[in-house]
Amino acid sequence: MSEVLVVTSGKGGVGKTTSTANIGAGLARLNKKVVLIDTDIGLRNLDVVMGLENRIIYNLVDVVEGNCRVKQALIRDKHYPGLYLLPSAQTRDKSAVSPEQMIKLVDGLTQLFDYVLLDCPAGIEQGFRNATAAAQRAIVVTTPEVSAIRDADRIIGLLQADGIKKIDLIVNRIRVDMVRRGEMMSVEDVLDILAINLLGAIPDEESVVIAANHGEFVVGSNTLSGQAYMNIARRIAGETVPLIDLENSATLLHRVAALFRRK
Amino acid sequence: MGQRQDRYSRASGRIAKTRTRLTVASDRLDCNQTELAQMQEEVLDLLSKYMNLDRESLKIRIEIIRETKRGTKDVKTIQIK
Repeated sequence: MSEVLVVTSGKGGVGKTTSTANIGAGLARLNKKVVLIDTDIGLRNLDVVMGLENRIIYNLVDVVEGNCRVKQALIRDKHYPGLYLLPSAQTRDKSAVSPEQMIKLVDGLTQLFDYVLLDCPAGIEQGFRNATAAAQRAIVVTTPEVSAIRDADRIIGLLQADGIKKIDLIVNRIRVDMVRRGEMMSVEDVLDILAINLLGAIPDEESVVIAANHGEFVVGSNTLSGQAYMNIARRIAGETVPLIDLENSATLLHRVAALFRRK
Repeated sequence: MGQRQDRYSRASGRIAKTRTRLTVASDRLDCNQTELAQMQEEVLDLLSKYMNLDRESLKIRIEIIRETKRGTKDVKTIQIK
């Protein structure tokens, strides 16, 4: 039985697309068949994050308008044979697709894949409506900032009103050093305010940026963020995985770094 | 000047948390933060009339229950203190 998840946040720039790509790759590492759909029509991004921008022939709008069959538009990932991307259209706008068309499209894809991940555009307008219409569960991405948490709370309210029963949270870009100094909200602080289930917390690491620069995934690499994304994928697949203790995992590195800085 | 120093002597993480909590609560209730603070005081005043309360350590949660079209209950919990 396949599952349809929407990755959303309200606020832009908190890491929805990076999270979608890495969770998808994580699930593919668990030998699941996964399709990622970029639903941000007019501002496509998931293709470049995955390094597949040169392979696009057809897109989401082409499929919906019947210019091609869905299988013609799917792009197979460079690393994982079970991972596919359905890219968005760059030269159209959000009104090119309706929620009903998205539901029909996703219905067809559930026959072929174990997981369908929808990368939602920022905002709460039609793009959000399109992406959430077809989803059974939602992953809300936020960062430990007032603006991002406020938007996440709004989104959670809208998802609940839409009847989405399972809503989980990812807290992205945690800087353990700042949390330790009391200059950043901790994961617990965020959970305290949003009061939904935590799917995982991702530390703010250079490796995430570097991987995206190359159009590669951070998941599968020997980094804390890579492990954190892998754990999220496992949890989605139904495994029970304890949370990484970011505070203490980072402490050793932090201490070593501090040692060098002092010299 | 003194007030400014006060603000900055507190770690900004706590300030952020308080501001987020207030913003989220006033968004959910659809009222401004002054009204929210006022309501918080009034609820505490009211409760204090009937019971002995430690106002500092008290947490109050308000649940707004709205029947939706599908017959399911839409429950919103707002923590105001």
